[in-house]
Amino acid sequence: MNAGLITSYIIAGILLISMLAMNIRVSQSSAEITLTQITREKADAISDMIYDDIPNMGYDTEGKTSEIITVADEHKVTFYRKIDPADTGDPEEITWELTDEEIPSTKNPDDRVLVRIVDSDTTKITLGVTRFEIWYFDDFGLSTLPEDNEYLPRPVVSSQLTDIKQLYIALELESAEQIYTGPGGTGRYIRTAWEKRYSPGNIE
Amino acid sequence: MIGYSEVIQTMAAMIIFSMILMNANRMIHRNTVMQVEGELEQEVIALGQEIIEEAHTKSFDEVTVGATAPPADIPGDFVASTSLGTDGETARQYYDDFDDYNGHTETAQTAHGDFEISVEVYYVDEDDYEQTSSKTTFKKIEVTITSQFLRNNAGDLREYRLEFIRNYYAD
Repeated sequence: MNAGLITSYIIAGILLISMLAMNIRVSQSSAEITLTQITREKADAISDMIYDDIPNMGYDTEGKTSEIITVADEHKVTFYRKIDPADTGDPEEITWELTDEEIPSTKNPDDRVLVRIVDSDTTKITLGVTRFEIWYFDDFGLSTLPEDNEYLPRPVVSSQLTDIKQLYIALELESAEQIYTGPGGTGRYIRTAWEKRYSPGNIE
Repeated sequence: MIGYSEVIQTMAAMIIFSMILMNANRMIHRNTVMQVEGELEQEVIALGQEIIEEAHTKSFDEVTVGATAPPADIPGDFVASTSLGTDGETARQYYDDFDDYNGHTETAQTAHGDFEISVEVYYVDEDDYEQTSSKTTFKKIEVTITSQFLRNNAGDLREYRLEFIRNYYAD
């Protein structure tokens, strides 16, 4: 066997390994995009629900509800709002809370069940929420950076509940499955974050 | 030359493969950039909405702040278009009417980095909603947001603009 043939075999081997590595990278990238998209869709779904509830807190068919925010804690907020203007009954009491309950259907150890309770009707949201934190402000436009410490101490005491003018909500979701960066490497969960400051018209 | 023809063929294959590899890397890089941009753009929208919603909770005009009755002349009593902006308020938390946000600039510090925000408020014509120097019952807020991580192909900062038109009678 001549030297040229041996060299070409070696180069061909390197080429094949490179192609395999490239194929793995493209597959990983593709999986990462898919997981990112799925996780972001889930975050959008939750933020849409929050966006319907929070700005409408205190809404009643005739003016405002007598009480608006009743619980304002780090991972929990309870308030009154009228969901259906055609309904003549009392306004509904709504609670958003991140519980300590793990989601058994995913491998991610950090995701928890987020609940939305309307009166006594509980909806469990098991979409991979790893963080749901709320800060409360008694003035407009204050710094939302936790280190600036311009938010009200949580849980907000009952005498200060009526001082709340803005709520800043941070939501983080992680994928149910991991992405592995290499053979034998430790995987990571795809994370998406969403945060927004609300100025509900009925509490200003 | 017998024996080296395989080497030449393999090298040609390597050149072709390198081109494919470069394209694949470019695609992966572009996908990663798009993922990051998508995440940052969510933040841009949240920040823009935040300013618009906050401004919407304030009075339509300085003359309507705390007023028990509407102005006698609408829109004649409203602030002139040349005077839109703060009227003594020194910071965002003191703004008390919609057009106080005109000229407002700030750097929003978030978990996704810093965003530069600038706000413009002006009267718009009630027929075509274009900017006008006359007083009308319509004011438009325009929030422009930039981030050093969001740039166009030329490398310039991409400007994201969120707008909202407010009508005095719709409050």
